[in-house]
Order: sequence, then structure tokens, then C-alpha cells
Amino acid sequence: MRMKKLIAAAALASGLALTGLAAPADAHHSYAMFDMTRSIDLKGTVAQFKWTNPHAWLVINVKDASGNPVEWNVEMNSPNNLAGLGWKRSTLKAGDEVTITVHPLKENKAGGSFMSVTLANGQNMKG
Amino acid sequence: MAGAALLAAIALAPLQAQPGAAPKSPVPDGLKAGTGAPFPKGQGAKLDSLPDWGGIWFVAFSRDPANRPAPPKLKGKYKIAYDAWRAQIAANGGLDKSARSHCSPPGMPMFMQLPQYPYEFLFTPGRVTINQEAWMQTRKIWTDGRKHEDDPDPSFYGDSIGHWEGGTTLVVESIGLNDTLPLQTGMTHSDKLKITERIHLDAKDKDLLINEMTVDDPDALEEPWHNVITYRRDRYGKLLEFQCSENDRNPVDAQGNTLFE
Repeated sequence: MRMKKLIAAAALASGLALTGLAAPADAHHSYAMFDMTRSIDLKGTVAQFKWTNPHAWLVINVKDASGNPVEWNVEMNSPNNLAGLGWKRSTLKAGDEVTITVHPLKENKAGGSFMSVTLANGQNMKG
Repeated sequence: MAGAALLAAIALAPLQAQPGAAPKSPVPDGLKAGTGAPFPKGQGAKLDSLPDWGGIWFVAFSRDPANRPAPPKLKGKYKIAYDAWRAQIAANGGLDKSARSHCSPPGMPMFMQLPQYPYEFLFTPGRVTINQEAWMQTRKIWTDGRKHEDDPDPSFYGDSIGHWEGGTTLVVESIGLNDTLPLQTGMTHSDKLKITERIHLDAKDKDLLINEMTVDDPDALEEPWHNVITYRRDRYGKLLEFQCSENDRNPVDAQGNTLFE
């Protein structure tokens, strides 16, 4: 998966892989705050999609077990990298019903690192 | 009324802030007056003999373990500090304490090693400018024969001078690097750091750019460290804006922890 390769590659570039430490980093900051060994699916409504550097950003309202909407904040790749995977600023917009897959934050907070999305029309896009 | 207030404000402003006061910098050391980067007119044709580094470039990685460089061999207090950093990371599940904002870039040499965000190389008479999308960084390399400054102000990208070798290879030397910035992730360096780069297209693949980098620091390193960075071309791409403070989702708190907001 492209993101994993970037992470592994970043670790290589920074020499971290050689130290035997599992602390992958992109150019901007470390991914150690996410549980990169686990992924979860979230079904919800897009509240906001920000197409910007350093990271595109997705805010999505996901219903919890009681049916209450919980706002999740999801960090994505850079727009230049996303564009290479077919994304545009208009790919997601407020109101879109989607299911996303993320690496969750290690701490117990509604946030994660984006992996992929399935749009309302069934199309799946990696990030 | 507003006009009179404006005139009064201008009259009270310091002399150097008023229109018409431009500084007169001296001729840089080693540069012949009237030549080089400050006088681009008439030097355009020479640029055509330089290699084709057009488009934008993304760091590319070799998946072959044999191609990974050995890490820098730190010594003395620099090794002690790095070992302490590694211990902290291991004890914190990979989380790093940060003394600086993530909106502050790493400077050289890591400027040339940034994955995910592209580079562009711009040629103008007597100068090469390298732009990097991340943090909208820019670095200038003087190729008009000027020497290093006598006592350069320490900076993120250094005092860089270079020349073209064989019409294919840009050879660069950088000194005057801010010693509060990382040598590599988790590592520090002294003010004696010197970075030499040999940058050229790959002999077989013209869409690959190679940077053979040598990092030398007699105080921090047992021996010079060699690293090779490869970049892959995206001919029609462009660098996007990166206004970090407008989208800083990872502020650093007073304890040095990176937050997620």
C-alpha cells in the first residue's frame, strides 16, 4: 500500500530503520501517534474535506453505538500525493455518505490516519 | 483628517522604513564586480548548456537492503545525546518529544531527503535555486564564482557555493549551518558541519536524479558520512502551496508532546 511504502521509505531516509526503531515519519511529523498495526472502518457523513498542505483533512460524523453522531478527525496524505491517486479537491464534500478505513490514534480520541474510502457510488479510493 | 494622520505617521516612522531608502550591499567576496548572478542580462544563452532538470522531482527509494547507507558515526557528546533520544523513543512507543514546532522545517541536510513532497530545480545566471514543497522551503546555490562568506550567519540551508563539472554535475559545498537543527532525525551537529553534494542525472535513466552527499563534521562525526539520494521526475507537475500555520494540526505543547487537533 502506497502510504506504507512512503512511511517505510521515510524511515529509511531518516536512518530510523537502521536503528531498529519502529517510529516511521513522513516529512512533516512522526506517525507514532497512530496504531499502524490496526485499521478500523467508519461509516458516516462528511462534515468537511480540506484540500491543503501539509495534510488534506477529513472531518466525518460517525454514529456511535447509541446512534449519536461523533465527530472524527482524519489526517490524509498531501494533495500532490492524493492527486497522483486520482483525487481532486471536489472528490469529497460536506454531506457525502461514505465509509472510510483508518489507522486509529493510539490514545482514546476520535481520530486517525486515512487509508481508503468507499464512496456512495461504490467507488473505492486509496489515500 | 485621515490624510493628516497618515502624513504624521510617516513623519514619525524611522528613516529606513520610509520609501526611497534601499541598502547598498558590498560585492560578495570572490565575485568580480559587474558579473555573476546580480547581472543576469546577457547570460541567458549559457543556461542552455546546462542539463535538463525540468519538471518536479519526488524522492525515490531503493528497496534493496544492500543499497541502504550505514548511519552517521556520531562521537562524544553528540553520540551521548543521540543514545538518550533513542532511549526516550523506545520508552514512549515511538513518540518523540519536540523542542520546536512542526511548522519549522529541518534545514540542511534533511531538506534534500524529504519524501512525499516534491522539489524543483531552477537555473538562472550564476545561481541554482532549489524549492521544496514542504514548508515552501527554498535554497540558493551560487555558481558565479563567489567564495564562501568569511563569517556566514548560521542559517537553515547554509552558505552554498557550487560549480558545474563536465557540463553534467552540480558540485555544491555548504557551510554556516544552524547547529540547533538535526543532522538526521534525532541527531545533532556542530557549527563545523560541511555538506558536499554531487548532483547529476542517472546515466541510464534521464528521469532519475542522483545526489551523492558527503556530510563532514570533525566535532560530531568519527568520519565523513556518505549518503545517496535518488529523485524521480514528474515532468508536468508543480509545487503546491504549504502554508503550515494555516493548517497546523500537530501543535507541540509546553512539554514537547505532539498533539492531534
